[in-house]
Amino acid sequence: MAKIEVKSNRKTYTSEFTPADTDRGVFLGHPQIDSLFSAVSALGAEVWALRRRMHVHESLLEKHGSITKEMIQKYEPTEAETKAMADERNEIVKNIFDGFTRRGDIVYSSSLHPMHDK
Amino acid sequence: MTDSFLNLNRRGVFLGAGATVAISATKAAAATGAIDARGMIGIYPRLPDIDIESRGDFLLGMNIFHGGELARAAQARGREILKTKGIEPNDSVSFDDTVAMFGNDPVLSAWAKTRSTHQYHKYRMLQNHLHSRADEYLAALEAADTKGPGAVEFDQALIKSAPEYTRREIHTQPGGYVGDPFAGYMYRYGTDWGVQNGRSYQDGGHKDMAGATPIPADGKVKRVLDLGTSIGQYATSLKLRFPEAEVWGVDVGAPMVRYAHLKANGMGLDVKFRHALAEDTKFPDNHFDLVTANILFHETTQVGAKGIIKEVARVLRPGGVFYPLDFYTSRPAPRTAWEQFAAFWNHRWNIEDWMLEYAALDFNGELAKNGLEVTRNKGGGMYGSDGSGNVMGIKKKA
Repeated sequence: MAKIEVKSNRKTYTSEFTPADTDRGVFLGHPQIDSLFSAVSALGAEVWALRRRMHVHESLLEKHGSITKEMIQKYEPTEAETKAMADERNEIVKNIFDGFTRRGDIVYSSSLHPMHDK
Repeated sequence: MTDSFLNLNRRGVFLGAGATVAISATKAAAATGAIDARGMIGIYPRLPDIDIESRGDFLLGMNIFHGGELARAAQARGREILKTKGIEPNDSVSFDDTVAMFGNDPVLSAWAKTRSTHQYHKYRMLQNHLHSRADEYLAALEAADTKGPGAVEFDQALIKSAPEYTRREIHTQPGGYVGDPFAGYMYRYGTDWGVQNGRSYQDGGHKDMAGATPIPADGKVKRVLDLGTSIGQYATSLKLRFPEAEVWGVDVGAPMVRYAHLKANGMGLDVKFRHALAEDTKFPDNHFDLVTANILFHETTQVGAKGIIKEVARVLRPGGVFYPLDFYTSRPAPRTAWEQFAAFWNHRWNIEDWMLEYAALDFNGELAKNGLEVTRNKGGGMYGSDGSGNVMGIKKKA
């Protein structure tokens, strides 16, 4: 059983629980490859967060000429902007992860060239 | 909470089944215990920081890719593997055989890994944020605990004595439903970026479910009970459909009902939440006209499920309706290799520990054994339908 520590003296109404072992799962043949996949995913999220901020900056500058941190935090994209950003996000996700839809099956050093032995 | 938070003047509009309730942004913000003012999206306040929102949005995109192009590539690869074994895609294949055939393929493995990675980053990001401001979020929850409309009841003994099967980290949520004080927050945003792909943001699916929920033949709906109510999305949607009814939501997760009350209270809805086991609700016999349970049974053991059905039969009044919505209440259990592989990932790596027990349960048989007449609602269930509708039970009259 495990327990989550909380930095507060207020009531939490929590119980002990049985921790999962999902962080031990190896899906891609080697634990470090799994870790790289996780790292790429986290980096993708950071890139998208920066891209999204950039969109907000540009929109606000265009509309107001100057911006504050509060304006950035509270910015509400229009329906068209939301749709355009979702499309852009999906394109970025695809660019990052598209390689995983394919399965290589030729070990590079085992093939000198398809025409080599002909 | 900050002045700017309280001075928000946008209004959220919640469209229930046949009901429209306008609520102030302040109330709605309180509904999720937001601690910063970034405005509203419909009935919910936005997350307190643009970058958290953006990272979550990326993970949502990752999940859409996982369920779209990557799933199609994985299914195509699965068909190739099956072909080499002389198996047609629609043939029945066992769970174990499927894992043996598909488990080492790079594309199928990437499909599984992508979803697991999505879950990991999503929950860790939310948990890290919530705990970095734990006292503020707990203060928001605490402020709502004793505030009406609505109410929440906690069972201190149950916090210590809840059965072990309820204490798992179901769908990899840190601490599960009982271990983290912010389980409700994590469930709410996590399911929206995950399984609902943005659809649950305004309780959309729950409103549809409430609208399609069958009622007793005599039309009387004075008391409603939602079992495994989680963060109360179905319970509040039922309250909007039946505004005169006394609506209760019950869940074994104290942090879940705590958040459910905060949310319902902020929406101005008089819904009562009780921290209790679904198999021991402590309500009187023959008390409810309608009992619902949305995606509860696949998260219980067979022993638990049988106990819950027995409890339903006890608290339901003669002629009352039991309406369970779950993976296999409207479609058959997994049979093809692709269905089995998805079930494998969900069971083993999404910590749906009781999924196979649920799939093997003679659910309709248990309903009948407990005096419920088994029939089907015309509407499809939450997870699609095989065309025969969703199971429902009507308590037989003595």
